Amino acid sequence: MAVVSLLPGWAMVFVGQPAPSHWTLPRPHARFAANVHMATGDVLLNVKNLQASVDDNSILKGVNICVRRGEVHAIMGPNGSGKSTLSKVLVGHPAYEVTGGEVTYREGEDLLDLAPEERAQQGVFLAFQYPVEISGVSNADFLRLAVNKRRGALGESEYDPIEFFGVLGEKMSSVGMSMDFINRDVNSGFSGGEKKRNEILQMALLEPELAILDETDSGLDIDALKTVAAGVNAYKNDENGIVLITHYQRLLDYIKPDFVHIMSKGQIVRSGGPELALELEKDGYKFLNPV
Amino acid sequence: MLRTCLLGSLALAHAFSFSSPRCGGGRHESVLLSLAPSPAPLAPTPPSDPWFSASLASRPPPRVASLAAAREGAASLLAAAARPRRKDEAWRRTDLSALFAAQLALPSGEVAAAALEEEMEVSAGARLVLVDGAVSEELTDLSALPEGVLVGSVGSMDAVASARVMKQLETIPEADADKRTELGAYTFAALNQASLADVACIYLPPDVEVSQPLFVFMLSSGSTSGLGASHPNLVVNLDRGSSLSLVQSYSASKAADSDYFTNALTRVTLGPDSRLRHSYLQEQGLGAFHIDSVFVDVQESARYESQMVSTGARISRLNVGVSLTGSGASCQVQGLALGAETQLVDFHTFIRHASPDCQSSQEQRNAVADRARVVFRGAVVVPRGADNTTANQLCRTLLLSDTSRADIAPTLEIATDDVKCTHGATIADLDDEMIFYLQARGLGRLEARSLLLEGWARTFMSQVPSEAARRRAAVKASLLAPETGERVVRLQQLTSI
Repeated sequence: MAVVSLLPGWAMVFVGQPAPSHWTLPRPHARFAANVHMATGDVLLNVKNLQASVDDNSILKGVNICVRRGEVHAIMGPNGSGKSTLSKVLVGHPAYEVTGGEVTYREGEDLLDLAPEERAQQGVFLAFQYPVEISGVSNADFLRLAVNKRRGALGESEYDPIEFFGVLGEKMSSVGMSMDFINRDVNSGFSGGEKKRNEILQMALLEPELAILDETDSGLDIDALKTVAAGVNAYKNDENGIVLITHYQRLLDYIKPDFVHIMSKGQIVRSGGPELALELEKDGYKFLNPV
Repeated sequence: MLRTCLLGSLALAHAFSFSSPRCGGGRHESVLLSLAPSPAPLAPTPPSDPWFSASLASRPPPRVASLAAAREGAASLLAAAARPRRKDEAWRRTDLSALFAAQLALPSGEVAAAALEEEMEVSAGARLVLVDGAVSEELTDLSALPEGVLVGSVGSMDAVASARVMKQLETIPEADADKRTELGAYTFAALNQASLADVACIYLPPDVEVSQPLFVFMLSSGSTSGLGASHPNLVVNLDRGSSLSLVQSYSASKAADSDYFTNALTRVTLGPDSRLRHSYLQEQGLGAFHIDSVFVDVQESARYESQMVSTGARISRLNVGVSLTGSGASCQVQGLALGAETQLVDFHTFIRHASPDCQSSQEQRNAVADRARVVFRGAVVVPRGADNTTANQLCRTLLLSDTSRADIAPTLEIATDDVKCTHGATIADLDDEMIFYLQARGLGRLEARSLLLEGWARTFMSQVPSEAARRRAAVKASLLAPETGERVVRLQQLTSI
């Protein structure tokens, strides 16, 4: 583990990887021009000793994880181990209080210092475990607002409704959603699977740099799972990073992780390659509580 | 209290007297006039309440001569009437002292061209316009209505239609209602009829369906010498098997003139198997006082559906009384109250299952911000014998600031066994989980709240046949979004954790 001090008060921790040498290049793709191997990509997210609580109950007790561009990380672990809390804290859910540690994003930006909407605009995306229904707001209007917020932050021009319609049509077919959904209210009356597809559609439209998928596979039938996985794989490239929170190896058959982490009692207790998920599938979490 | 007074009807060229037990024990909505000629007609006495005397002194002249008797009959009722006070149950939460402090005056009658601009196109061919309670022939356009449909001033109706309406004017709603449960319509209804300039009438003959929505615009103007007062009166009669979508809209006749008093009275009679979709839009100027009572008689197998929106006025009070009087009658009554700044938005409603085998559903939505206040008192009444009744009532309130206030009183009065009734009321702020979901997609907290409120208003307005009205309600709702001061996120309400 190497610690590199960049500025007073900033410390970066890179788990098992040397510090990148191209901090100052302005755009991700420019960096990757000189840096083609996914595993040696720039650090996108660096979580160091993160602690968080809700209602004075400590949930995260020192989480460390480093996600580089081009990597897929899977986080597994028993119920109540803090996986979803980690995802919520990373996107700034107001119910959680960060009580210690730090999270840096991209080139050392303090993620915890940004408001939730700023994190989203800067390319941090959470696919919700339970997407919220919003009546009276059409999916098309909502998606266009969200995409234009992101484009505004990237300095790109906003889509007008007609332009957006074209973009939307293309992305919707890529996640297997019928165009009927564009005029329906956001998630309103959607089945569980449709809500999850809608989350993946948002991810495809927003093109985040860091996507966190919180149990996107739960509640999906096998066909929906394949469609969702195909959507994620289509989004995945050398410049973005993906964090998958899941209970099941099944999802990892379709989305290949580079790293698998096991969380328990608010900490990451084991990290390894894809084989770790297979091991879990076979033996469960027994090793966490050795008799 | 027993009162004897004179009410005449020129249509019948006859004078009647009637007595009105003002504090009767029963719950009756109107007093029926005795048809027996009075042996010794009494001259009307001036009101004992000085505000009523002054109000009568400034009432407009009748545009239609045949209304004179109805006016004088109602004026004589006012002689013994007391102004509503806070100790009256129906007015306990509605402080009218600012209205009673004002001197009523004749309104100017000026109309700005912009007043109807947004709805000119959608209402073309089916538009009735009243200015200060009198039908404006100039602004009215009824060219698209099917033959036999009568819409206009009572003065333009044929003898049969005119007589029907005059007959309806002979009853003042709630004259003998129980003080404990009344809507509080009586006094202002009497003032309305005592001050009639005109009566707007809508009549659909049997089995006529009007496909295009009919718009009735009630424009009110102010006055430079006091509080301009107008008293619009609308009578809607749908004969057997007919069907109509009606948009009844109240607003200022010109934007600069927002201080005035509109004291309206609306009667709706739905004949057997008829159907009315009633969009009611109260979008008065923000300095205005608005009081209206809407009484609906739903007869056998008829259906009444309403979306009643109250977003304007400094103080507004809407009384809605729906009586299901025939077997198989049904109603869906929906109200939306949006209050900002120091507005008071008040809905008092009752749905009375006067017949067995009727169904009602009521949904009230309130959103209140800043220092505004909303009042909802809604009764569902199922008297003895009204078996096989289904009645559902729900009142949902968004309390959007720490200084806003909601007074909610849903009541059920059930005097029979064979009923299925539900009622409920919720009060909350916007769901922080929804706000967070939108924030996680890049919207700021204020934008998220605005969008949620817009959507909330839009779902309510979906049945109102005017995109401009839907948009105005959404805009008004979004204005309620700003939060004053630092507010604490209510962790307990976060459901997605």
